Amino acid sequence: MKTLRVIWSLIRYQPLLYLGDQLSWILVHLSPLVPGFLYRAFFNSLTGDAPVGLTPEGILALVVAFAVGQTGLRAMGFLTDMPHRFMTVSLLRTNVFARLMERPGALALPGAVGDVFNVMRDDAKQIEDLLSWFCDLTGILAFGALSLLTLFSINAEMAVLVFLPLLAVAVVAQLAAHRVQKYRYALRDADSAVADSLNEMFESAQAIQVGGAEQRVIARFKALSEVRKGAAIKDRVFAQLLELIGNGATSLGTGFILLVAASAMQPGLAKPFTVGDFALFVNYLATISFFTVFVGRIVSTLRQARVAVERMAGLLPDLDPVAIAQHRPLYLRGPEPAVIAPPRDRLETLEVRGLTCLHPSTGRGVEKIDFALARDTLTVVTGRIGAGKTTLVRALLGLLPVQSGELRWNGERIADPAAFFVPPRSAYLPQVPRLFSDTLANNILLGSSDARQRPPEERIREALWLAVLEEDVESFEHGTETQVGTRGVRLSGGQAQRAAAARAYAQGAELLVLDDLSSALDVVTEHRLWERWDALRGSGQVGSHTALAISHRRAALKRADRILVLKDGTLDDVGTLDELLTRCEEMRQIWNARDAGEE
Amino acid sequence: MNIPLSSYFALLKRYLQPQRGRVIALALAILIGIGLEVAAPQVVRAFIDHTLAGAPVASLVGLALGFIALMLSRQAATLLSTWLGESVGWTATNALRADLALHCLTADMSFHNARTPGELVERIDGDVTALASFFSQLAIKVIGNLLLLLAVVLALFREDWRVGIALTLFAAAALWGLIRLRALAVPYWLRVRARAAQFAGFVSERLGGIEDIRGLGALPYTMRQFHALLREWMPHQIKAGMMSMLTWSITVLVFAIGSAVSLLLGSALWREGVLTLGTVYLIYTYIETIRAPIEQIRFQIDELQRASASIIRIEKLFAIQSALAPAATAASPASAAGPLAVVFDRVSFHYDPDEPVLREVSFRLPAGKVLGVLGRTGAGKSTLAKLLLRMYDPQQGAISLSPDGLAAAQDLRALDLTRVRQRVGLVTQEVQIFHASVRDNLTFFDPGLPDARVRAEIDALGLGPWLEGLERGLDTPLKTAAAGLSAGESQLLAFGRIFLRDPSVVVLDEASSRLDPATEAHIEHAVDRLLAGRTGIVIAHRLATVERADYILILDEGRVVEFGPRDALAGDASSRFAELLRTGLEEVLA
Repeated sequence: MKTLRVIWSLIRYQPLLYLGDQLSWILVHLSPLVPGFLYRAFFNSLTGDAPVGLTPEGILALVVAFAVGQTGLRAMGFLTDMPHRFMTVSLLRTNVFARLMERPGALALPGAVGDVFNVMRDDAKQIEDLLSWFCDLTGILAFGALSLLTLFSINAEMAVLVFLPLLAVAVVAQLAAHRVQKYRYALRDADSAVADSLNEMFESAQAIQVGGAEQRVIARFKALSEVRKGAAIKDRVFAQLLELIGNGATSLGTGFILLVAASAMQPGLAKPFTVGDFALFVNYLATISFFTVFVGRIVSTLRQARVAVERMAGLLPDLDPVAIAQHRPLYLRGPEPAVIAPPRDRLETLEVRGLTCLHPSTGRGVEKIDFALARDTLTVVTGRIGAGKTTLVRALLGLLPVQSGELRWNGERIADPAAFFVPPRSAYLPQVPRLFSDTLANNILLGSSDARQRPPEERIREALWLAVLEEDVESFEHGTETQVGTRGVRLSGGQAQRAAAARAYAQGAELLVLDDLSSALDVVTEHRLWERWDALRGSGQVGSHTALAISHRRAALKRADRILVLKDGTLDDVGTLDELLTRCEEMRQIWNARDAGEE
Repeated sequence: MNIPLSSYFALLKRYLQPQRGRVIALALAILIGIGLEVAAPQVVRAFIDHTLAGAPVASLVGLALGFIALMLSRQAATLLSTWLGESVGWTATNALRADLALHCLTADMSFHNARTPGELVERIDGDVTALASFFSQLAIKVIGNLLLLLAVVLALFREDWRVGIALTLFAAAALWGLIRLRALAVPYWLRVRARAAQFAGFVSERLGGIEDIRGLGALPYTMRQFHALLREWMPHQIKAGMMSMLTWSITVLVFAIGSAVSLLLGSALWREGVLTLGTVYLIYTYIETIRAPIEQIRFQIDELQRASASIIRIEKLFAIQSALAPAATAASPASAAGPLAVVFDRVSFHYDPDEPVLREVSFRLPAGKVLGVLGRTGAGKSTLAKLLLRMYDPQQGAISLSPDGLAAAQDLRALDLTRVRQRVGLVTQEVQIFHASVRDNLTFFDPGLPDARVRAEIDALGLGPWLEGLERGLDTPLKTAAAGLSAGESQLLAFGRIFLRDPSVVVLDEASSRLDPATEAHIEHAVDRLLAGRTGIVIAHRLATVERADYILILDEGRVVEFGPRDALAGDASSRFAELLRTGLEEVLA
């Protein structure tokens, strides 16, 4: 049922193109009826039976002329089918991609990235094939009906003998169908496992090399490939077996024609079965063999498509399956989609009340957090590892689903934090930031426009300076146009961290949320970074200098206007550094720990 | 773009040779199928001629039954060849995939930095899968179908030489045309696959960075890039499809013409009384019979076009040589366990010729001693570690390992790469976790390490309680198990990997910088254990981290500013290190 709803939604996406696709392929599939008739006329004109008023040569000329016409039909079929296929598969992929991107940003994907992509690639293709297959289905069914009618009108008895094996095929295929699905599931799972292990292999190439585990990782990959090989052979051989049962029925049909023709072709009958008739029967039968195989596969094809739909819909478990086929523009031509930032919303205060966000499986997280922060202040969140610092900022920004809590921006309730906390309201630096394969400049701007209308070069320059990256960039041959590589790997660890910091600064946001800004930086760089922050803050330049930062470093703690100390998921204490050092044991421990810096 | 046939044959030979027996069985099954295919129309011809001659019904029934038997045998042969074909194809492509994966996996890091994992998956899995039928069917089916054509032509020569010649000419012309068409669509499919790979890279990378994208409100921008990729992809896909359509249509058209011409000749000969009507029908049937092989060859050419596009890309991938010079002698660094001395001799290195990262770096670290490396971000500290692990080779100078640091010093490049990496362990702050069990993650898939040893290590790291909490113990998938691990604990697991490998030299790169102070104590203990009895290089950002160092190396812009025993440097008031200690790190290095 849900498969049908998905298919129906896809059909309605480009109805005219699909109609054109359908009509073209009906004609393409019907066209083989004509040569059959021409060959019958040819043999009949040789034997003198049922002449049609054309010489054999004339008939053969028609054969050639018709073949030219068929080429035109096929061209039409491709010209409608190719764009329609592309749009269908792209719609499916776009829906899945967009929906995954719209989920709370820090929520785990419904599988490993390689696995998810595998489904987006292969199962979407399978559904695309199904739609195109429907065009063939209509054409081939029409062909089957018309050819059977023709055969009946020529010799009903013999037509039945052709028809009966076809029925048997349909029954057998029906019986075997559930096994097809089982094999298909097994194959798809094996496919995913292989793609997954490859993806993982290359994501961790350095760790594998350093661990000297290349051969062992490949051995594991080989084992997974073997499993897939077994699944694929089962799937293919079984499909071939079903096809052969169809083909076998056709061969049997030809045999039956010969058996019956043994008496029907005897000369002297009132309406003898001519050699031309025989030619027509065999010619249609050959094409009908295609038909029987096709009909025999209807059920299995539909089941395979159901597997594909289920797997695609499984990527969006919280949504109705039809979401994968939801109509949306693909922007394949015409103007590109607009990138519109929400309006600037001057920050005065941000209040957090009763924020609770627990990981459903581990029960870890933060509970009942209350705090407020004011414009142009630095609020530092500190605590041990596992205290819930990252969860707190993620929950605040709507990057994790929360159980309860209320957020107020200048006193007004925020209904949808995920949509609200974006530039120019806020900018975020995650704990482990990811850069993308693009230029440094594009990574820093991420397509954003500036609320303060500064030109991009100026924003980048300022952001690089704030992030203490400007000297590094000067030494790059291509400056800000340098390609940073996959996930920023062409930069050093510290450079990537600072590039991500520059990315957050460049948004010109009212509120900066920084998760462990200086974790990958040496003390000198960290020091300069905070000095520049101070300098900008003191410059009185337009713009906000409000930040919420996770850190346990002294440089940050010393500058904080307020410090939130988290302990085991709850707020242990709030205050200035001096207050906390006198009254909060947890704070003292963090401050005195060796790692906090030598000063 | 034309691919030399030698490339095809080289691939076929390499991956089919090991399964010769099955390939021969496959060829036999296909040949038997062909024989039955040629025999069947002969039965029908006899049937028609006998019918028209008024033969008894019983003998006609016999012919009909014989025909049915032939057809059933042909089905059996087909099923057998499918099974054999799939088996051969998957065995070959699995081997090719594994070779390619290993080739890419062992390539130096500049290779990986230039490619997304998604792109590599597409090229190794996607491209090789496109070759599956190339291995299982292509060669055998092309040859089989050519043999079928030959058999039909010979059968027709037996009937009449003129018919034989006509059909030979036709078949030759058709094949010539087909071979001309062979490479038509290759460049188009090549472009389609390139687009697909680009799309794969984009999608995988963005799916991995949702938190960044959402937190920075970059979703609309990302969607625009996504749509732009689709927009660029579509015309290539359509063009490639149309080129394949053209190949198909031309084949069918050529065939219709050949069929008409042969029948024209047949009918003329029938009128002269040279051929029986059964034979004219035989010609007609045989043309239908060779329709299948010609369409098959057409189909195989499509496959070949797709395969060619893949072969080109696969060969390109194979052609990329690791920038690491292969070891000439593949000697192992002093086989005995125990610490090794590390010597850098005027080592210069750059990723980009205009941006030297290390400049003439020289130092000698005696075996069993600990070196603390200090310097600003970008001073070349991490690169030092990467060179020592031979992720890259230096452009100038040499790095060597030896038990005593003197006479037996061996250049890294002369050593076996795997052995070097066995003796040198690296702990980075990024901990890579695999979709595998806790055991496999710790042992790096080494089944040779006993469970007891793994357990002991986990206990020693203070993670015993965590392990006990896991339902399936060491067999628990780490991805699930790690849900309850903090970053610090994950870091401890990374230490576990090193302990289990027991290297002679340990490099700790920024290993403790992401840890909060309260969890640090655990790590401290592990580090002490790690450095005991080993040569250690600790890349540090804070002076405290180098407290345990015997030697200090200070780098600035890739140059050695200072190197010496820690105590000596600390005692020499004029040294940079003493200055650091006196004033605190920050002011001095800035």
